[in-house]
Amino acid sequence: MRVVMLTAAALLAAGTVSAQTASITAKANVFTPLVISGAQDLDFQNVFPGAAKTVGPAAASAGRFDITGQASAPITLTFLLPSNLTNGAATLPIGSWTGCRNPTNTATGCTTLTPSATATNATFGAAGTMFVFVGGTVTPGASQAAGVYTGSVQLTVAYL
Amino acid sequence: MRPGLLVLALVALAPIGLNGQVTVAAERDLDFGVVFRGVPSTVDPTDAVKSGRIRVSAPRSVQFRVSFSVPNTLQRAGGATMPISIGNGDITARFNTDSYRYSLNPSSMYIVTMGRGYITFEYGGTVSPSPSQAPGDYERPIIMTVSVL
Repeated sequence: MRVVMLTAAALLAAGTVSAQTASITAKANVFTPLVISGAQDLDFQNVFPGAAKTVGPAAASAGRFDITGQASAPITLTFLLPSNLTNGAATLPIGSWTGCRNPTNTATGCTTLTPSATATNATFGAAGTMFVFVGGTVTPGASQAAGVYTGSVQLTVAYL
Repeated sequence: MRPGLLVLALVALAPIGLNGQVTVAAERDLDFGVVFRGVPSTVDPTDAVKSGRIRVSAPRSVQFRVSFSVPNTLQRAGGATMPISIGNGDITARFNTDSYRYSLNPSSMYIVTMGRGYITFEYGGTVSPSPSQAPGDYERPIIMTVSVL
């Protein structure tokens, strides 16, 4: 080891009177990266002019996001939701969003949440998985043009 | 700044000689917090939250030698390891509350002649998790030895 001092030799020759050590810890917590996938579309199937239709989060055609990450870690769920589905220039209002989350891939017994742009806190299960189910209501007008209407539901997940 | 200048500056500040107790206190761990697989993470020694910190207090004119023992891996329970680098410039020394920090090399040894007050050593570094790094808490000690001359 190099001693950095011009007069190091003379000082070291004087001898060591006493020595103390101090120890701190270098530490890091490796987390599993977040992986999220849109696993199933929210599908209202056939709807009719003038008749609102609701798909609940526990329905077979509910939307579903699959998330994996660090077991038992707290996260936030933030949605970006459309107010209309579109078919070219035609629009179909959508709203009254509902949702729930579960560490297993079933809506049975899931924890209710309201999808919104305001972050919802959640915690991964012991297996590091979370499944988020999304439902909503479309409200076709009495003169709604026929066709397939689509829109994007985005979910952002972040570690707290 | 070259490490040698630290010694010269401290000597210049040293008033008349007086022996006494030297106190070495570990004040804060070097904590990288959450890191992700495949993404290196660096803590600057000036980081007021994450950097490690050891303080040495000594009476005026006391001389001591400082050496460092730093790990090159952190370890998780079960044996998994993760590379860590604490190299030249990753340790700084600050005299009392001075804003100026001297950049140190952990592979070097330093002789300090105290002026008044204390000197604080702050530690940074870089961890480099591999793309397949096993999740969990990794740690290893950093040891600083102060030998009064």
